[in-house]
Amino acid sequence: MLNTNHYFQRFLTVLSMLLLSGLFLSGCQDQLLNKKPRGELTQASFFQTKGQAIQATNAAYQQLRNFNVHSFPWLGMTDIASDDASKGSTPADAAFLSEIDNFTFDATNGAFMSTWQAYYQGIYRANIAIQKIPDIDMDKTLRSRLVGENKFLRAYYYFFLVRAFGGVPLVTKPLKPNEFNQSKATADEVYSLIEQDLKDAAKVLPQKSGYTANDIGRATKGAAQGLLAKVYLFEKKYQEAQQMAENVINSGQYSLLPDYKKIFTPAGENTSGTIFSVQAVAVETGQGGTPYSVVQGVRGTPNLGWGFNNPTSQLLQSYEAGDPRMESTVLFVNEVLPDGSDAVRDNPNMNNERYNQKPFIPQNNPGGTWNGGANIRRLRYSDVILIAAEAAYRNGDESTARKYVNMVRKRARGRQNATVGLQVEPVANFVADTVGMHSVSGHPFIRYITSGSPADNIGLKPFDWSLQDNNSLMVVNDIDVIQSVDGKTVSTPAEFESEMKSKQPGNTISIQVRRITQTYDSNSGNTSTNTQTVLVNVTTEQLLPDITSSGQNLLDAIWHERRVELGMEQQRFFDLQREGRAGKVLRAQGKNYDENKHNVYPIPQQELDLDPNLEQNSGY
Amino acid sequence: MRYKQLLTILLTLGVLACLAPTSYGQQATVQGTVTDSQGGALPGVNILVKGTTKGTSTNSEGHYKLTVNPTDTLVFSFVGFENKEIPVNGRNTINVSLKPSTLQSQELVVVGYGTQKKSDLTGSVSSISAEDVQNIPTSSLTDALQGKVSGVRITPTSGRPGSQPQVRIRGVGTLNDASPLYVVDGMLVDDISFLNPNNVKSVEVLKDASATAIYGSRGANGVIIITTKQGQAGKTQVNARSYYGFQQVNNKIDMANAHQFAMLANESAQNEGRPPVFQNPDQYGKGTNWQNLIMDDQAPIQGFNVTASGGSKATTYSLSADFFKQDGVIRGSNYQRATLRLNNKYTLSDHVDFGHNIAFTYNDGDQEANDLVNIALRADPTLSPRNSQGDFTNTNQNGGSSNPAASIAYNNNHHYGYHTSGNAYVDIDFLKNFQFKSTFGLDLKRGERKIFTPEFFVSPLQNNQQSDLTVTDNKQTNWLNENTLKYQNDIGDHSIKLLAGVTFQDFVSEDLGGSRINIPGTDPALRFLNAGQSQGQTNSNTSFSWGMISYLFRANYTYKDRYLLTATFRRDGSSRFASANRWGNFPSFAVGWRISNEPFMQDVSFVSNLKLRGSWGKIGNDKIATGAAIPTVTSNLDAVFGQGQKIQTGATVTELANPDLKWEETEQTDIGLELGLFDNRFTADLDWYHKKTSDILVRVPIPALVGVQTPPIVNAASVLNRGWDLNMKWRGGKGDFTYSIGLTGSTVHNEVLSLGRQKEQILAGNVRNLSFTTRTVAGHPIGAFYGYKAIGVFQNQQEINNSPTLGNEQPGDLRIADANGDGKITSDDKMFLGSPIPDFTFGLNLSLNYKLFDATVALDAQTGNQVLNARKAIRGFRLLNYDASFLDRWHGQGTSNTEPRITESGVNYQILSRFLEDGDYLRVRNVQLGYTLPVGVTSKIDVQKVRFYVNAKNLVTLTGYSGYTPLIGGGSVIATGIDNGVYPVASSYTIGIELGF
Repeated sequence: MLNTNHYFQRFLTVLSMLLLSGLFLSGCQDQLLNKKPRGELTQASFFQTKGQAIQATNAAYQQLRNFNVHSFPWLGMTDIASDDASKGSTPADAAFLSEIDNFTFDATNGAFMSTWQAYYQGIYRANIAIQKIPDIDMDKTLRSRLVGENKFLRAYYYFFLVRAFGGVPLVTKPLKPNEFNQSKATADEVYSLIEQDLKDAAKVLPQKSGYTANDIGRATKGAAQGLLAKVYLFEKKYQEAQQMAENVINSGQYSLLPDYKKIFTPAGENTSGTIFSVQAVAVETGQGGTPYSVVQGVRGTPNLGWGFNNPTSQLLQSYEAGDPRMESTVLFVNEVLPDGSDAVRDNPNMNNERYNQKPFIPQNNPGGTWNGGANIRRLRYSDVILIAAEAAYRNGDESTARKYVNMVRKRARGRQNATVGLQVEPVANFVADTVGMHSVSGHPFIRYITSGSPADNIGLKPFDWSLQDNNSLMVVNDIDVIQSVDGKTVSTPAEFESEMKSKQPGNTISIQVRRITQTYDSNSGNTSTNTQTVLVNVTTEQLLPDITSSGQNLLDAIWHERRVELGMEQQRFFDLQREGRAGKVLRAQGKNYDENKHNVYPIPQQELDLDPNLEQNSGY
Repeated sequence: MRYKQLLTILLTLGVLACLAPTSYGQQATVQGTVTDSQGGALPGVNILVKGTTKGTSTNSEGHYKLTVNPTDTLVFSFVGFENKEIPVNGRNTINVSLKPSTLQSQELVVVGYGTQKKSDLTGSVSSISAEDVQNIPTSSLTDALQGKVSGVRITPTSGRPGSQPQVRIRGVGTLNDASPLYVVDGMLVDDISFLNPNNVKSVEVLKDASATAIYGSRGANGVIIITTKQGQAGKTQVNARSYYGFQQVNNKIDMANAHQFAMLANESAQNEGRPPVFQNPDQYGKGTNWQNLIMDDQAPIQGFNVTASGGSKATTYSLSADFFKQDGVIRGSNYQRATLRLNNKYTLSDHVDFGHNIAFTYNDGDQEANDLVNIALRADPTLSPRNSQGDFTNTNQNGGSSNPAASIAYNNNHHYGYHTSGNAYVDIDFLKNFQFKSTFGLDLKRGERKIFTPEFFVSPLQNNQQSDLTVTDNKQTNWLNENTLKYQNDIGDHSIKLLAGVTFQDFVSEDLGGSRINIPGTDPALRFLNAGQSQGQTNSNTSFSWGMISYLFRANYTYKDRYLLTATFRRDGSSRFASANRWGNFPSFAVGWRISNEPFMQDVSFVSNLKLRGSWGKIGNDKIATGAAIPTVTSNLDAVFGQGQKIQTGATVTELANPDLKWEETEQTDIGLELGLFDNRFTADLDWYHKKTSDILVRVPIPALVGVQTPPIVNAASVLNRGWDLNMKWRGGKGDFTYSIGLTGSTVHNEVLSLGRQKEQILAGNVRNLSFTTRTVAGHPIGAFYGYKAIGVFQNQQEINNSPTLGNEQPGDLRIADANGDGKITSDDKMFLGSPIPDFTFGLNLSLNYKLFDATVALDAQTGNQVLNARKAIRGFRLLNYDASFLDRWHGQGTSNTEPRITESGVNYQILSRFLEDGDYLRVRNVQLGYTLPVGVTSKIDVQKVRFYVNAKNLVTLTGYSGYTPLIGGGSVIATGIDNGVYPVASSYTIGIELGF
């Protein structure tokens, strides 16, 4: 205890406290004022090691899984805008996509800003890696590979921007504050950067077989060449396009997977026909997934998604009789899901009839459906073959063009030769219950019949159903369950297909179906069910016959082949524009497409507001 | 062992304090009557023999009798009156008249790093005393302050128990955090949720630069200084308070019933070309009132506090225990808090004091299911909570929202925390006129939250396939060391006070969290991460810290008690800024003129106080994220590669940092007039202020082509707030009847003066189809509402054909004002539609006393602001229930020119003015009626004071706003006043008792 009354002693006490404070001050000034970010690296300490070069490259890939890069607004600008898909979901949901579907949008439509921003963020990540990695002291081969990967990604990001918006600002390095206001480059300038980046990448990137098992999915030489072939096709540089596509075809790295259906299953990921896919995996923690699947998943039961991007009836009709690719592309309401776990039961308020089947993921996806583990197939071997076909046609080499397009059709046929023009599916349990015949569960029934096909002409009926009683009751108006082919009992779709395998075009076969029809009495609320056995004789025709045409018919056939081979893979809209027939096709579907403005989307209004050097695209 | 020692010390400290020495000598009896200045008897006045614990109090006639030594001195004290010390001097009768303690010249006001006589103040400081805040049933001191201080706007962010209101002093001077700095017994903190109003002795609100500049870089949003109660030398005083009551929501939202909903849903479906949803709407009656289902109309609230204080010349102490418990009016929410506070002071010698003020708080509570209010207001009223099998109904079957009953049942969101806040100090007088004080404060906070969702299935849209548990834990360590040296001297007519100091502060916050799935069972004993499945677990651990070193100086000079001068300077160094811009200087100057002390005023007897004062100063605001100046690397940008599709680590730079960041600076000028008339029975303070903040730290939008995730923070905006603050009070009475009327009023003119380099704007407040609803741009208030304005409803196709439209309008849709008159409706026709900041806020506090009865009434009001009823604008996902206002819809020519035809989306949901409502209100905030037992009764049971009261809080709110409350806090300053379905603020009715021993 202080017990002095002497000022001097007290003065000393205070002085010593002040001195202590002074010591304290000098001791902790640095500690108090120089705080480092906690748990985070700083820019100054990054881009030093090989590991960091890889991490920065991985971050440029990561943006490919971004919601705006490959999901919601992007699906609107690629598929929903086209004639292959309608918006989907409920009429009110995501009105901005309806505007794109109908071409009533203006520059304030959120899709444009979201994609613009997300693609430029991808470009930023590639740019900073391209700028910084060359200075890192590390293995030279790996270093140039990583720079090549980033150039591939930068080209990939710009390729979307130039097709969507035309000439856009060409940003090739991280910008300083006084460089934020950029003007637009011309589309040609953007294309020449893309070409150069892809050429540079093709030089340094290994072939698919050159990567270790751990690095499967990174950009390859084939991916750079394949993408470059497509770029050339969009630039109408057909010589270069054909040559580049044939580089890929002749590389021996790729082949068409015999079973088209398998491509879009988990087992089909990174198989022989894959050139470049956005790699995704569903893990519990969620950092490997994409929202690509959930946006397009079934809305209803099972609740796999939001129900956007629905295949149109025009797309269905564009498939030739019996084309098995339709079954892999379209997921019908009341259809058994690809994994067999359940059947699609639409939310009655949606009135959607079908969904995109290609992004399907099982319901027990770890981390929830939002965390989709399906790879997004962005460049497939068949795409490159069809590029070669189209370029060859343009280069006047029709036989080569036919050779390539028929390669794709041959694979599509699978092991079948003949068709009667119908698509079968197994009867879902609840459909069987609805008609009161659990015995037909799993049996093949006629899901879809191509109009004008032999099956249509002979009076077989595709599945037809309706909802009654305030949408709470399903009534099966017609269902033809196939019982036998040429007297041979078939009780699964696989058995039916296997029976059809032995048939040749022109064979007459007898098909026996159990036709179940229900009628609903709205007064009593009762449903009555009738069954009858129907036996028909029907003559088969060639399934997907080889293309033999020439001239414009051949070109149309190639374009048609692109549509059905790559259906619902977000290729159609830009293809229509490239082919110069977007207006004709889309207006025929009732869309307000105007060539004078809609050949590119508008530069987002928000970006115009922030960058006075930017000019709006003409017409907006 | 150490624990035991601590306990022993604490106990000893408490016991020692009670054993103050008493001396005995020649005894005599003294008696008399205590009156107020009007001669009215004062019952319950404390009379204490100075330096002892011996004393008594007056009876109902104001009479007292006490045995004393002839040399003793009596101390008379009574709440609301000045203490008076009278030496006995051998007398037997001493009649005393007490002066109301409101006499300004003597009133001490707490200012930064010291106290000052109110008469010497040159700055704008409002004081609120204990009586104004205690007995109001709330956990939050700031809640209790609402309407009591001019220039301070207090807005609840939510009615959820335990939530803290938003506080804005003199407008909004930043685009960042605009909350004031809190100083609790000298400890600088941002969160005062640990304080209970009963411990508070006084609250001072520092508003102008002269007052706040001593807090330098942290004072720009104003400073609220809170002083907690200390013990007084004398006999032990024990005060106990307790209240109990219930709460309910008085102003529920009028929603469509089942029949109305079915009818509207069908009409909407028809309007949008969808098949009808309901076969026969007439079959439904009122249906389920989901709003009532989630609300508790008798939610209990209770508070209990006991304080023992007293001491001797050597030691004073105040020990307080407090318990508060509140159930929310929304089911599933509650909060409880227990506080222990020990404020002791030990006089070690004539010259050395040592003391501490420490509060230990424990709190816990449950939070209602996420978004429950909105879920209930949207749920389909044609359905029941449970179906005939007793299971939760699938309320999504017609596309509606989740089943609120199931949301309540499956929600488990529990939190608990500790908060220790306090300081210890030593105060040394050395040399003549010099005083040294060193304080070490600690603010330690720990909070944990556990959210558990069991596995359940109600519908495809409302289910949880795997149970999951998330645990998050936050720790904050904040220490502050302040060392100040004071010099004070009066030389003739000159009075000088000087202060110099140096302070150090360090703050660390760390979060640790994890989650697991598949918890085996719903037993709360299993709600620990280890119970879950280790595969797929997640964890996170983040932290930030900042530090600060400051030097401070202040000089007060007074000449002849008439001319006042204050100069303040603070220099701050902060870790938040890069080294080149780390240090900031914050000066202020103020002058005051006590006109009433001039000789020429001495004859004007009715003027008891007249003072003119003016101040100017520059203060800073550093409330930005730590590390904004240092570019960091974003991690977790992982890619997927390889045969087995493995996650491969990704990281890169995705942000631009700004190493040139510096302080926001606020320059404030204040001119004030203080007036006291008729012995200060009437007092008034009137202030005009002009507050300009420049170099505001803001993320100015940059073109997206730059490619960074968010634009960097730059010093790029300036904002003006100016207006008037008025405080008035009148005290009057006659005989047994006394009353006072207090009035506060403030105006704010808020305007962004500049933003960014040229025509930048900040768009915020995104509300579904309305898109951005606020726009911050030069020339308008911060976060002003901006959008299309409706000017009626199209009655027929012809009107549409003859008008500019967005394109797809049909009869019954709203007509948008063509603001620029170009004959087209484009985004250029969006216009400013109002501000969330009220022009005028107002408070009225009445107090009445008649004999043993007392009453207080508090009102508050605001006008001139807009509230966005965003809840009504958020539709279109699924079919949701309608507000009853939708019944006034257009449904045929001439049926309405304000409410459009019913739809779920489309043009009518893109028009902001449709959902903007006036935020004007007048609220009877608190009414309290009390009765004190006569001293004759209480003295028999050896109790000094017994008071009973009834209290009603938020009794009536007069407002045109259709939501729960027009007081919408929360959100950032650039997007506030947006009602997304706020947790309603309850009315409460309590009874209470106060006891004094």
